[in-house]
This record gives sequence, structure tokens and C-alpha cells, in this order.
Amino acid sequence: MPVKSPTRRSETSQKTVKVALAGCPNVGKTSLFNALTGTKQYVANWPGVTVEKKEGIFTYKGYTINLIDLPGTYSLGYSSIDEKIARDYLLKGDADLVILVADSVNPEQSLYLLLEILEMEKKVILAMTAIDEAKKIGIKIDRYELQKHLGIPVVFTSSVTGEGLKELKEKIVEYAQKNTILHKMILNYGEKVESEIKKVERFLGDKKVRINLRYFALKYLSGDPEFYSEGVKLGLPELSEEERIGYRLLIAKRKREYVESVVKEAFANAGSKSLSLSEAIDHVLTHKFLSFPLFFALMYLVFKFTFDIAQVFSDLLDLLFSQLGSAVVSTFGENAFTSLISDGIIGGVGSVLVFTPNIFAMFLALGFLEESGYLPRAAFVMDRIMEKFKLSGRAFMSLILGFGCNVPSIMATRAIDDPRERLVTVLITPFISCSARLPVYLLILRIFFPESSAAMLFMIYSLSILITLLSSVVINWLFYRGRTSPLILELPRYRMPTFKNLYIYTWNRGKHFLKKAGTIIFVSAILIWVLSYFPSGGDIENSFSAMIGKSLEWIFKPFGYSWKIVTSLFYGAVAKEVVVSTMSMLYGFEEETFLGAKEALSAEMDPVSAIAFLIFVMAYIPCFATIATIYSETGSLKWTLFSIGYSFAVAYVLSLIILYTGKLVVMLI
Amino acid sequence: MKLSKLVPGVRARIKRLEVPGELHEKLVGIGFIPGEEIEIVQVAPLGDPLVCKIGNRNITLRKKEADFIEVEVVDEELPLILADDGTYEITRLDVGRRFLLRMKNLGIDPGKKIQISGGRYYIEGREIDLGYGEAAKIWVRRVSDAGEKSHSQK
Repeated sequence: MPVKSPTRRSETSQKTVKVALAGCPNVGKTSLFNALTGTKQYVANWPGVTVEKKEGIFTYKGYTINLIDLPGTYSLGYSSIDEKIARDYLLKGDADLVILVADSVNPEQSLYLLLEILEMEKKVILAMTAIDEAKKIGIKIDRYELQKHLGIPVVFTSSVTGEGLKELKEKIVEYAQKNTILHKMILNYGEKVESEIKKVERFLGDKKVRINLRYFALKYLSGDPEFYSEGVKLGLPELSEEERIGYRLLIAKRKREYVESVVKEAFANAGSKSLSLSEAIDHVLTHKFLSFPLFFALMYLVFKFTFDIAQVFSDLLDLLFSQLGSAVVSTFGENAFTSLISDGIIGGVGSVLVFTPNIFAMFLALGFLEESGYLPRAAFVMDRIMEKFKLSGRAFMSLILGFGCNVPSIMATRAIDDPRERLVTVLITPFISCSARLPVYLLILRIFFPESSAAMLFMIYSLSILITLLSSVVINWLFYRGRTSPLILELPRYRMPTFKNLYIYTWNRGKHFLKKAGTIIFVSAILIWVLSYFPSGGDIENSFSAMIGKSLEWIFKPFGYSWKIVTSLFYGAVAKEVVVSTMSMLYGFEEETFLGAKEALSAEMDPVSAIAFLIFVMAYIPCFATIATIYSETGSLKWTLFSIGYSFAVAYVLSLIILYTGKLVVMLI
Repeated sequence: MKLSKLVPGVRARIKRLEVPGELHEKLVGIGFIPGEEIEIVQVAPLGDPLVCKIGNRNITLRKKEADFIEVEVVDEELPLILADDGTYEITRLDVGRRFLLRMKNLGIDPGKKIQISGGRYYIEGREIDLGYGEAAKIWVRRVSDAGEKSHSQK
């Protein structure tokens, strides 16, 4: 069932038009979507699957136009989740008409996709985007030739200059009112295929198939898994694989030929110098020797931008929250209520909200890489290394983001179209050491390894990458023996991201993080405060928190950790940065005063057990926000529990090994 | 010849795809269709994957998948390593001072004829010994149609 739009019910249904936006990846579909709807966008999951569904609303001449952004696909096959969604929606959804977005500079694949959609007998408007770019490099497109050959309205648009947007809206309203398809375009596939199509159509005629029969026949003949098996179930003859491949090639070839002839007729001077600039940039960015240094330099810049530039704002927020906290206490005096407000809510929620600038900055940097067309290149360059670990270059990009925060990193796996690879990437992401764990590392390393803390930090990060990649091997070995997914993607030409697109990109993703993390942290902050304040009215030694820690102490017996450390780890499962604040609360040292912390913790740990502790913090249980994201992205309780159990087991075993080999080494020296 | 064996800068035509299952549909959908011209434009720094150019589009593909795609060279001029048995004229040599010197000593010059038979190279009836890297830098053009019969042995 397609999702209802929020305004749909409130207005007369006559005045609402539902439009599906389809197109190949990277043709400027998102830009057009943004240009038409602005920030009036809603993100939900497609029913039944966890791929993001984007809807936007705008009005024109009294019509409410509800735009549904379909996932970008090169064709309407059945191999990736994106293809399935786009095709199912086009076939069975309730769209009144379809806009096919085609790249004016490089139209071939877009027109191929268009032919597939036209065969479903849909009302389609062709929107040729990036018309400004095409003009700039001297490509001339004859609109009337296109309309004549394809039998549908064609609009030239540019999301940069705004050209054609009004005309497109006009066409939507005008065309949606018509009851018939303007002109049916039927491609003739030659005698052999046509006679087979006729046979299949005749056979299906009385079978109450709700899908266009010709489309069904074409898909059945070419051996599309869904239609072929349905056809056989209905009683159509089984075809040999050779036959199916034969039909598939004939059909695809005919479509390509038709596209070629249309391009020849309607396009003048296509594909000339524009691509040479893109190729020149590519030559440098994917160069044999330069590509790796350039790639790491770019990543370094992303990190620098995410942490340094945004740090100023983070510090400001930090200051604001601590001022706010103490203001509450000084105004209303010290009591249970002000303690809840200042220590619990402002302290807890604030500790996460201070990361907001980093998150937004990271998405801005990421948005730039994505919109400019660099991301597919990075995937291309890194693919060989990732393949060794049963992943592909696409997984690499989303993992890299995990150093900032695992939540957006997991969300970024949506770009991975292979479901196996996507799931594995989601499950291994929590091992990428996020920025929330940094405060814990820094505190412990300063106490136990003041001289070599930088080297130790490097070691922890390296170990984190190693465990991530090895986990992919382990999970693949456990559940998917012997399968690797191919890397087939088109490298789009480079383009300068527009400010509007970057803004929408950053805001839409950052907003998501704020909402999700905000609610989880808010609740857990209150909970931790309650558990530490009661029943003894502020005496931590006798609080519920102490009881929890003491009752869990046995798990950590082999490590020899006290209940205070156990409690910090327990609360740290909510958010890793909570480890430090819990410690400061339990040991009664101020977070700022380093000497107090040193004194308290030195009594509990030696350097070896401190390292084991850090490794444990690095690997154990994803934070609540991450767990929630894993759940929402996989849609599976089983995988979420697996992720928790697996990471806990890895952390436990790994830090135990480090603890005992470390002790042995110390003894021998 | 397999697409994975093709070298950058040489145009070829797709002959057939020997791809199993779902991947076939995906490759056909994105444009890998017999008859289409194809060229490798870029090889990733670590040797894999490749970027192929079909029409105006650049598409990445791993060598593993490129192994499924059978192509034939359409360019007149091609590097020696891609040449089937037959007689060829040497058109040019890629740069490299030591390489050029060694080639001169072997008697390899633009304009000379070179025969390939059973994967071995002959100039004026004398067999010459060339490494893979060297043969990749020598560009030749087919001169006679006498090579047709040796085509069939493949």
C-alpha cells in the first residue's frame, strides 16, 4: 500500500495529483525534486522495506501536487532493492503520472529507461535536465523531434537556472487531467519476438492479469525472475535459459537502436567537449599514483572540517549548556528537582547535542563529495582493498563516516544496492571508533600513558579498523559463504553542487539525527539521573546505580573491575561519552579536574588493565542511537540482537586476551 | 578475447556475455549488449576495477565480471599483445629510452613487418623474444587477410 500524504485527505481528491519522479542515478533527479518542492519534503520508509522514501508537496494553480521520488535505477530489472521498489511503484502504485528525468548531456541510458516505462503504458512527461549545461557546450536538442518520436510531452529544465520549472508544473496539471495517454508508443521487436508476444498476450488475455499484457510478455520472454515465474505458474511454457537470454538481448538491442535513432534525430553536437573536462579531472583523481594521496588528503579535509571548524560551535554549545545547568541550580537552589534539570536533562542531553555541529558539518562535507560526483570515484579507487574483505568500494564510503558518528554512517549504507553487502556494512559499522569514544580514550590515556598517548590512540584506531574489516569476513563466512557483490556503477560527470542542494542534503539528514538521538538521550538522561539519585536521595554508594553495578560485577570478574567501572560501562551503552560523566559522578571528581581523576582511577587500574578497558569501550555494544538505527535500517530484531551480542563477545574476548598477554609481558620483563 | 584482457585505448566490440543469472540482466540493462563498441578508459590504481566506456557513458566493472564478457578488437591499430596470429606492420613504439634501444637491437622499427604464429613473434623469418610488457608497447596494424584461417583455431 502506498503511503498517504499528509494533505491528501484534507482536500478534494480531484485537486490532488500524485506524480512519481523516476530516472537514472546521478542525472539530477534530486536537484529537480528539491527545485520543485523546496524543503517541504517528508522522509519515510517504503512499505515493507527499509529504503528511504522521499515525498514532497507543492501547489500550482489550486492543485496539490504530491511528488514521490523513486530510487534512481538504470533499468527496471529485478536485481537490486532500488529497482524492485521503483518498478513495483510504477506498476502497482497509485501515481497519476510519471516524470522521467533525463540528462540532457548524456541522454542514452535515461531514454532507455523511458522506453521501459512507456511499455507499462503510463502517462509520462520527459524532463530533460541540465539544459543549461547542454547549451553551454553547444548541444542542441530538438524538442519537437523528441515529442514526435516518443509521443509524450517534453520539457527542458535546469535546476540551477530554474528554467522550465514553471512549464513542467503547467504540464503536470494539464496532462494529469487528461484521461488518455497522449500517444501510445509501441516499439516493434521484429517478427520472431512479436509473434511470441502475441501468443503470450493471447494466453494471458483471460487470466485477469492486471498488468499491461505486452509488458508482462516482454518481461516473461526475457526471463525476468518475477514475471517469468508468475507466467509459468499461470501455465505459460517453460523456456530454456538460452531462449530467455536470446529474447532479452533482442529486446534490449532493439531499445538501444531506437534510442540511438532518437538521439541522432533530436540531438545535434551531442557528447563533444563536455566530457573531456570531466575526463581530465578523472585522470587526476583516479590516477595510478596520485589517486591515493589525493583521496587521503580529501578525507583528511573532511575530518578537519568536521572536527576543527565545527569544534568552535561545539565548544560554544558546551559552554551554553554548562552555564544553563549552573544557572538553574543557582537560581532555584540545590534540590532533587534542580538536580534532575541540571545534572540529568541539561547535562545528559547537552552532552549529545554538543555534537550537533560536527554532525551537520560532516553531512555538509559528505554532501559536497556526493553532489560533485567524487564519491563513486572514491569507491572505484578503494574497491580492490575492500574486495579482500568481501565488501566493495561502496561500503567503504559509508564506513569512513563512522569515525564521526555511527548513526549517519549506517544511514549512508542506503547507497549500497546489494542487500547482503548493505546488511554486513550496517553490522560492522559500530566497530568504527566514533568521536563519542574519544573523551574516554583521552581521559584514560592521559592518566596511564602521558608520554605515549598519541601512539596509543593511533593503535586503538588501527585496531578499530582491523576489527571492522575482519568482522565483515566473519559475518560473511557465517551467513553468506562465497558470495561477493559486483561493482557496477556509472561514473557521472563532475558538477558543482548548488548551495540549495547542499543545504537540503545537510538539513534533511541532520534533522533525522537530532530527532532520533535527541529522544533517546533525553529519556536515558532522566533515567540515569533517577537511578543515581534514588532511593538514597543523592548518596551514590547506595543508589540503584550502585546496585546495578554490583549485580553485574561478576561478568567482569576476570578483568577485576570494581562496580563503579562496571556501572560506567553499563550506562556507557546508552552513549559512549556517558562513560566519562558516569565515572566523574561515581568517583566524585569534577570532569575538569584531571588530578582527582588520576588519583581515583590509578587506585583501580594498572596500565595493562587500562588498555584492556579502552579496547572494551571501543568495541562493546553500539550506543542506543546506533542500536535504534540498526533496527530501523535492517527492520529486524534478530540482526539488532546479533549486533549487540556479537560486539559484546568481540569486546569481551579481545580485551581479555589483551589483559592477560599484557600481564604476561609485564611479568616477563 | 575477454574484456578483462583488453588494454586501455583500444576499441573493441562486445561479442557475447557469458554471465550467469541475474547479473546478465543487470549488465544488459546498463548497456553491455553484443554489437556495442566498448573501450577501457581507466584501470583503478590497484589494477581492479576497470572503467569501460560504452557510448558516452563510463561504467565501472570488476575484472571478475569483465571475464564474462567476450569482445573483439575493432581498431585497426592495436598493441602486439592483443594481436592474433597473422602478419602485421609495426606502426609505432611507446616511449622509453631503454625500451627503444633494445627494440632497435632486435630490429623492431616502425614500418617493419612482424609475423605472429602460435603466440611467437617473427621478423623476417627470425624469431624474436619479447616480454609481455614490451609487447604491450609495440603497436601494429594487420596487413594481410592471411590471418583468417588461424582465426578459426580459437
